[in-house]
Amino acid sequence: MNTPRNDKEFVDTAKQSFDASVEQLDAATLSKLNQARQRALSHARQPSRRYAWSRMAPAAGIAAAAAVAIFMMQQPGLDNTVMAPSTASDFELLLDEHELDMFEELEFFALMGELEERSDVG
Amino acid sequence: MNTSTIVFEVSWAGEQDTRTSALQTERQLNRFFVEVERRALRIAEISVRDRDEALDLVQDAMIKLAQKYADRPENEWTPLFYRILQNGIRDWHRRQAVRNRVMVWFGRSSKDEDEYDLIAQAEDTAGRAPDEELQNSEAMQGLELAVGQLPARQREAFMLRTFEGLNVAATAVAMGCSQGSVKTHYSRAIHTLRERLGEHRQ
Repeated sequence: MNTPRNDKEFVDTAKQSFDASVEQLDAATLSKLNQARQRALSHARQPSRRYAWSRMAPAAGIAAAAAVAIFMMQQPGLDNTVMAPSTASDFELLLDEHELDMFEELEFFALMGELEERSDVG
Repeated sequence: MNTSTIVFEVSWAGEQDTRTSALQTERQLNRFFVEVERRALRIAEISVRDRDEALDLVQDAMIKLAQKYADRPENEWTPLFYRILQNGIRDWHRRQAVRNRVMVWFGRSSKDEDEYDLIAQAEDTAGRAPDEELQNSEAMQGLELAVGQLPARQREAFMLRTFEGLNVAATAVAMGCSQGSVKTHYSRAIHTLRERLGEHRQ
């Protein structure tokens, strides 16, 4: 990369480097991307299904957090100088990979309002 | 023709229309994903420094867009897609932070960020002159490291504006902030990157 003289030149050079790295993605990665796309399209064909167990995830997370906390309190040799995960929600976040959808829904309503006000988004 | 035949035909025509519309949406989605997926992957990879994790994040973003927002106008898909992807990346970092805290508490170190091997992740060099390849590769590795070290919001603004080419308004939607904030983050990112990459070259 030659030394860019101004911001515009820097951005153009950065974009060129990035585009080159995109062009050079290997075949295995492209194949995985293709599979990911097909999976996403198959979801577009089917209505979203939420499994009953996924609704139990927050409760399961809290129960697991409580169990781990009790277990840890009963271990005498543990180093207590390191701060423990602060709340049960930490464990919940770790155990629950999908429930963040709910927050996205909240954001979505705000976003839709925003988008409707902006006709020039593109 | 009696009433029941008319009702059946109207209903059949309605189903045909729905199916045609669904197929058309699917084709448009496919085109859209083909268009953005590679850049999205590299953007996610620079953010999380792991190609497999980046693939998962891109796939999740594609699935969410297909499931929830496929009926939105096509020109809204790009900012929506990147909004979902950026949310996914932020959640990923939050989980990593919690995971690290838990691992430290259990007395184990988690996967070190430095384990990410840029050379192992280097692109396929087929069909390129060695000099050109080396120059591109070195330039991108330096840039990638510098971008990866930016604060999260600056990194998002820089990648969405520079790499994906979104305008300020679309970047603001994708980042979920005001256009003024996008301009500030973007300007700071460029300043920091020019400074760091300048130092690196010296």
